[in-house]
Amino acid sequence: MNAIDRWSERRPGGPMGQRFLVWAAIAVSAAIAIRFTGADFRRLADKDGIANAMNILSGFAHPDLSPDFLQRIFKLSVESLFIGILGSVVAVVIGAVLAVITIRVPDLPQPPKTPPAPIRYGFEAVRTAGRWLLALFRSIPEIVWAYIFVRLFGLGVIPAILAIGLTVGGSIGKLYSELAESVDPRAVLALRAMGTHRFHILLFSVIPQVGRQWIAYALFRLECNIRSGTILGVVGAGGLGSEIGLAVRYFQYDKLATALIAVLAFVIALELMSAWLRRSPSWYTFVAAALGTVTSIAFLDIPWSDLLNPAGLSLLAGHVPFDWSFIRAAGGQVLDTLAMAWVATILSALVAFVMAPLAATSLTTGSYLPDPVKAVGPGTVLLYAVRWISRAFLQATRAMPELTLALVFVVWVGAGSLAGILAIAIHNAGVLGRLYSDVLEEVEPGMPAAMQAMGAGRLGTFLFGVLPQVRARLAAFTLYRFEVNVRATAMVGFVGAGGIGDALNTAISLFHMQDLTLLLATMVALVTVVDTVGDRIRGAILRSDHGNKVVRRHKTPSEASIEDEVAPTAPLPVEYGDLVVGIERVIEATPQRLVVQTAEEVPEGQCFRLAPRSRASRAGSGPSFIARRVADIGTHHYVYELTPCSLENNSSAWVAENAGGWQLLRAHEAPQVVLH
Amino acid sequence: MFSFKLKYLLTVCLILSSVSAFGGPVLRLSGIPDENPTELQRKFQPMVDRLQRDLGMKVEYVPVIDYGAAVAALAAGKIDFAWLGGFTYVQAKVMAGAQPVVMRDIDRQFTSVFVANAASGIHRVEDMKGKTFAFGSKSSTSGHLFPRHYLQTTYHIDPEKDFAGPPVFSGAHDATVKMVESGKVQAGAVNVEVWNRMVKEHQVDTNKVKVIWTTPQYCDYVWTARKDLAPEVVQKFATSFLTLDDSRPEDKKVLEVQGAKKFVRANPKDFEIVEQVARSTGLLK
Repeated sequence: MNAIDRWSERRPGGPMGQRFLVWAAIAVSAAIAIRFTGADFRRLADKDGIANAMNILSGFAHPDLSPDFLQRIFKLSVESLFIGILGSVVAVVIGAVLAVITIRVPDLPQPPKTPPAPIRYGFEAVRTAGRWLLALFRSIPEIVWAYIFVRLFGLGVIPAILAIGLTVGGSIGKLYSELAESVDPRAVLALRAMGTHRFHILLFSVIPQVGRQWIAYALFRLECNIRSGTILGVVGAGGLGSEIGLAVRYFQYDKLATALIAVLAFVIALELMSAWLRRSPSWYTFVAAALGTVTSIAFLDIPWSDLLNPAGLSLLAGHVPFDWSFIRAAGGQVLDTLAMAWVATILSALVAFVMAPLAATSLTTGSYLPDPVKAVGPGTVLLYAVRWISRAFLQATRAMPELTLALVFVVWVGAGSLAGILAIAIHNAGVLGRLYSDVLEEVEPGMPAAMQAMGAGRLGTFLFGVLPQVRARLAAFTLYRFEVNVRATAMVGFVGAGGIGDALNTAISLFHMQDLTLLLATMVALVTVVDTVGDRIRGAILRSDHGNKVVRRHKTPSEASIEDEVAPTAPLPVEYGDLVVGIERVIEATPQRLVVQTAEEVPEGQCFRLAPRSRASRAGSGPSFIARRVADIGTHHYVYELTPCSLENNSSAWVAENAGGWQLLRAHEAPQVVLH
Repeated sequence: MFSFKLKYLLTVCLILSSVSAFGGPVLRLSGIPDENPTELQRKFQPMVDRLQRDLGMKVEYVPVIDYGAAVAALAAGKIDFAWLGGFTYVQAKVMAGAQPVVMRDIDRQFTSVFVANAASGIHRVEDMKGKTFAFGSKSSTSGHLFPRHYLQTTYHIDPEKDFAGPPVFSGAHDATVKMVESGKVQAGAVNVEVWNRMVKEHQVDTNKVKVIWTTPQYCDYVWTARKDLAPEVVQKFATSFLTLDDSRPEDKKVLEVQGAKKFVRANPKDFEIVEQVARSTGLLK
């Protein structure tokens, strides 16, 4: 069934009405949420708002470029870089250790003997504890950990490094154990049947299967961590953030401008560098990461002894029992946080919905037709301009960390929920815009191409040819970002932008340890509930949409990273096949030929399909084929000749690069080979 | 793959082996960051030099950018002496048994001033209802604790409910003055000493910012020693401060930047009221 059939089928009667109900519900809930948060958007442009905005802009007109300050900014940028690198190392250690503890090794169907109950329950308890620890670590934003660690270890880089280590370690650990639990169980069971020790199974069966994915994810997180390294300083944890915090506190717009320009330049340089690394052989990245680690340890003046002497721990002892009025207040804060995250998500979705089609090549300067009529005129130039402006906007907003934006908006509209909402909405517009435009580029080209061939305009093609195919995925992405934004709301609240973060900040600053415990528990519960509910709803949305195919078109490496940002904790797409062959790099792919870099060879005579390693495309299906190796072109580089092995449509150009990595999935059914 | 794991293993070993808890005989001082870092450096440097001479050991000033960090550092023994506010001292005492050493002559008669932007139409404290308001740091005695206390007890103003929106925390006294001056908030509460200095040095435009009320006197700032510091070090430290004499030019310089005529011995009793107020306002739990 194609898109137009479904569209016309839905048109009459119920489903259409239902859809309007959904839209109405979203609009009403957003309106209620805005009232609830008390955000007054007029403050953006009232007398004070304009004056503040002009002040900020005047800073950009005359940034502080004195040699002293520039030198300091440079030093702090380097410090941020080192914080990010060491934070990643700590995160990987924490994540890997906890993952190894929590991985569940599948049991034989009829085990010859089971260990006594206390041991079984003991193991189970340890695993559960490990999972809870991971959940705790990743539910609390870095900035909160950083502030707590500033209390324990004093100012400097250690709090920032540990903060990144915990939050990111939590999500790395979760992903690592999910990856490990989704490996081919047969190898594990075979070892189990021979009585191999659990540890050896992990070491020799599980980890070799997932090692490369573990490393790829760690390297991807490195980039995000360096980005957070630029801002954690606001709470005294080293790096560029300390200068931004001071500039905001004392309204030094010239210094603020310099620091913000430095963050932007830093983040963009980072993105270019990682794009280059992704195109290069993977050992480049290793060398870079290893050198970075060594340099960081050598150059950062880290008081290691403090790490082993957290005498401040005694401060964490509580003084009074729980205070019920505070618990009620915390409940209010939860609602506040949800409302802020919801408003921010809806706002950013609106912006992204307009910007994404403008940034998508196929809908502006390009076409879904294989050989479109090329017309050049003033209109084309305008379209190019619009596309590049949209892309630049999405890129720039995505690059700015929410916290940094929150500080700017606190100066602009004053402290409170409005600043938080705006900061998250702006950053998120960049992320969602990128995601939306990727989805728009990936639609099945048949419908829109047919419309374009008949002369449909761009808007018409978008609304009636493309949108019906992608609606469900856009909704799922938006919902996913809402889940992320709940956590981000707690983060921006920390610098005075409302929500639960504000309460966390007070509890830490005044040493109200009972309150802090309660708030942290609330955060963990909130994040867990939102994630679980969100997972279910997204699953339902995507399942209801299984008819729409995803067809991969060209993708640049930097585009691929965003997908990881979207669903970093997604398990592997194993629905299609149970044997996964990891592919490091796709060098060339046509329906006839596949040139890849892979450590494991593709088994011959079995039916595979190529899929990117991300949940975003799990619902889609690429062409299936049987691969036959025809040549080796260097270590781990192979050329395969492909033969289609099912009757699926193999037509489009479906492959390019994907930095998240590729894998081959074996078809479920015995291959129904159609040899040509 | 395994070499990669090895790298992490090596890193961990490196971390563990490079731990060397060695420090020479260095005395570490710090202070709550109630003003911007440059100002604090200016304020403390003469005293640091003086202590270095009197105590015959290296004295180091460790800057912090967060009030609580100073308390935590003192409690954890990372610093030996800290110049704390009344409230932060009480926190340090309750949590880690810190002891008061010396204070300035002005500290027993300390006050806060409520200031308002001239364009805000605020002339009395009561007028602040429904306006925007800024405290200093959440942990400040003169910028938060006592202003909150007097608002609640003398004027029956609940800072959480009676202003336009929740109160803003500027982070430091001079930052509060700047916020009121620029109109970002309509009124605020600051430390009288910082206010007077900013007026004297023309760092604030007094046409734009007016004082509307001065609080009754209370006890604020105090040099605090960590719990388990050797008594003779504390004694030497105290003597160095107590012997500062306004009539000697080199001492006068040290005293002047601290805003004092002389230093006096501090007594835990001085801060009993502060502790009571801290508990009644709910800031100390």
